[in-house]
Amino acid sequence: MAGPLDGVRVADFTWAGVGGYCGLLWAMLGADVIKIETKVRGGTQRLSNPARRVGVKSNLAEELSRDKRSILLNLKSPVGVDIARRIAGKSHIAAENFRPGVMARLGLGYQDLRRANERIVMVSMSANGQSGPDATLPGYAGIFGALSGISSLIGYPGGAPVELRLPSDMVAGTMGALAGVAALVRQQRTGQGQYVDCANRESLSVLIGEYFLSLGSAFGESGRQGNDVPGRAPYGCYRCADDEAMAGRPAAERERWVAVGVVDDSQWVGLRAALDLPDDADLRDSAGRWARRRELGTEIARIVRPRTVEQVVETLRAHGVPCAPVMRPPDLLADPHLAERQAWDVLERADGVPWISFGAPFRFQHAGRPTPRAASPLGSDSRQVMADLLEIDDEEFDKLVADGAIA
Amino acid sequence: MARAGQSVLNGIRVIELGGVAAVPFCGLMLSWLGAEVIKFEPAGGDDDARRLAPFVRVGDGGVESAMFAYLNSGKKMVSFDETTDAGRTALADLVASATVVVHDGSLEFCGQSLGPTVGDTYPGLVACAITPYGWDGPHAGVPACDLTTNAVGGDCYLNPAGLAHHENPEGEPLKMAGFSASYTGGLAACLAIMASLFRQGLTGLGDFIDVSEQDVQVSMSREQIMWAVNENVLETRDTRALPVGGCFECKDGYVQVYVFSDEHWAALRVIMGDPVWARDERYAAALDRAKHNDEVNAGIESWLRLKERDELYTAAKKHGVTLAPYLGPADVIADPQEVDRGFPAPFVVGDLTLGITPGFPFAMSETTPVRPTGGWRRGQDTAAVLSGVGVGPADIEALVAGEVSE
Repeated sequence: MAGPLDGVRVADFTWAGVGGYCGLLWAMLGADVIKIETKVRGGTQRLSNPARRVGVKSNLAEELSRDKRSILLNLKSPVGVDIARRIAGKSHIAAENFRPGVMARLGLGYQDLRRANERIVMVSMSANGQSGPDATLPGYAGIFGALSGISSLIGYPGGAPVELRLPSDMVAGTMGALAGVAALVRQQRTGQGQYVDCANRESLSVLIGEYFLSLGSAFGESGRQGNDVPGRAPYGCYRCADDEAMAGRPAAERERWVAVGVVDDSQWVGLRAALDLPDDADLRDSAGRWARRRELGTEIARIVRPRTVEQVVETLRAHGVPCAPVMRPPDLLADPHLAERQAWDVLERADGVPWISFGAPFRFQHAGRPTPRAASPLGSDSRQVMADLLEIDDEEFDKLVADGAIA
Repeated sequence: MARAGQSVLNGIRVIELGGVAAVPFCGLMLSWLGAEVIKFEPAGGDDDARRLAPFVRVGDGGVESAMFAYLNSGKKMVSFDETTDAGRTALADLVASATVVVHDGSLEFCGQSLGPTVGDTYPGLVACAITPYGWDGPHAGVPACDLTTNAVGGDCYLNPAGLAHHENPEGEPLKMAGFSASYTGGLAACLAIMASLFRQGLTGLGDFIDVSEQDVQVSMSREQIMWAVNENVLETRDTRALPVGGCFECKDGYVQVYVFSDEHWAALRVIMGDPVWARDERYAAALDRAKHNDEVNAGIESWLRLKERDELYTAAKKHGVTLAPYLGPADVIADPQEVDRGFPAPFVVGDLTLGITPGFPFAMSETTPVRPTGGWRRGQDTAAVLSGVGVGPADIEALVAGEVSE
């Protein structure tokens, strides 16, 4: 099965988290995503991840280059740039997330690609967007997360804000993917291409729009509130018994937590019964529970502390209370629900070592899910892609390699 | 450049059946893209978000949920009793008039007609269900909320890292800001819906799309999760912090500093005035800085403590240092970069400007986003919308008989 974007081709010049995830989503929707890599930039995603402990091999490439084809071009060579333009000429979408101006300097700006393909949709993603005084500033998740406003709302009351990491790259990448498909739908309807400018910080700001809107009212900015949602209580994470299977490991690896969120009065009745909490009249409505939320939180923490998270979740779910373990990666892998939904893929890597990966975050009943494939080694699809798209035969390909246009 | 009135989803009707966060955020994105979004609130109760903080003053001393207003302004508000025969028929007529339905599976009608068999009744319809755990599997239908979506997504366990964790090492794992984890589920669903509309444009066929909010979260945390499951390395809140850099407190706030490459380090040394400690040979290479990260971070911190946020950002921009201030929403709407881009947008209802919201997060050269205007009173558009799908005035009156007028 192929996916709803079957037949769509993407000339993918992106790198790192935002662009990598954007292209991955298109690939998981069935598009033929051709990752155009260079020895310098391509390598950046495939080497150690700066956010990780230094020296540890990154798996960003395994995860973000899966389902894509990889070609290696020398974009410092005019012939290499010409090949890149010709690939864009055969694509519906081109995407990039360099600093503004880099693609134009390479001869691969929107106007250049448009000459090769009038209908092309070009998606640029950058920390601050393509316009404005700060357009060319560099950005990483923690940086554009701080600028978006969202980080200022994450953290313990009175404490520091929280630096955002890769998942916020992925939010920006999802927004980029949406922008591209929106323009694609328009291209299909009108035959017209267009240029799309995505600002990663703005992709995060829209997730907290209500905190902008409330600014002018006396209620103001509410700042960092831990896990509180005003009006909802109890609502938080509570520590359970340590994981016995992790005995001997560092404390942080042993601890288990349960998330409990009471959203309505009937759930409070369930929670009260499940944990034998007091049946005070003032606790029967949300305002009363909110007023006593700290006291309730302390009491719940005391009750669940000696119990295993599995026991707590089973009991609370039986009473209709929204709750879940705070899941660690091994918990997710062992989760029967995800297993039954066949959420995981096992990819056959080029080196023969199987790689466990996670499938697409959406399922299409009729269009289907594309068959997963492991990340191509850097440049390993060059010959095939050149033949498929540009009718470059082996002899010509070898000459391009000898001339330094490829690789 | 953009021409007024040209939106991507001009002429596309979307029915939204589901409350609070994920489904309404998906609807908001679709309405920004130009779709006509009709939000249905059932007889059993209106959208919970109508009561959720934060709040906004709406004139006349009234106060309403800013969350509900932000998510739902610009949509048509329809409500009637869908549990009667006439109500079921009206809802079916409404769905038949639409190109897209996005729902949370909560209404009986959704389970019967808008699940995997949707094509039997509505062959051209794109129906998308956004649910906490997906349409099937042992956890389908298990009680859930935004916090549990965070908990089962893989990132909450690692949140917070860095300074916030250092200050409060015994603190509980934290969710993302507000309802942003749920909004992200709506965002991923919106992408899937747009892809399905592309296929519909080619084939005329609709589809059923199953979006699990858990899957969306896990997919976004795939790097750390796959690192753990394939290489047996369990990261924790203790070990997740950036080796060098991260969140630091400065004189009047917080800044994020990112120092990985030697270029980052060289630029940082320049704006720090190249202090003696920073010239230490042991900090010259990235690997060595990581080895001595406690010393390097302490040096950076002692310098930042004396500096103001805005002065630091100005210097950082000048010298190419990857440093940025932690801005709150009030700072964002005043930030020259965002003002220049026209990102902060007035939120106008009728004659009143109630405040500022984020604008559309991407700019398209040939199409314009549609800014939401209009109120969000329950049922305000019921009669107009139902008469548009052929329900007669007497039937409309009967359908809304149970509705409480405000």
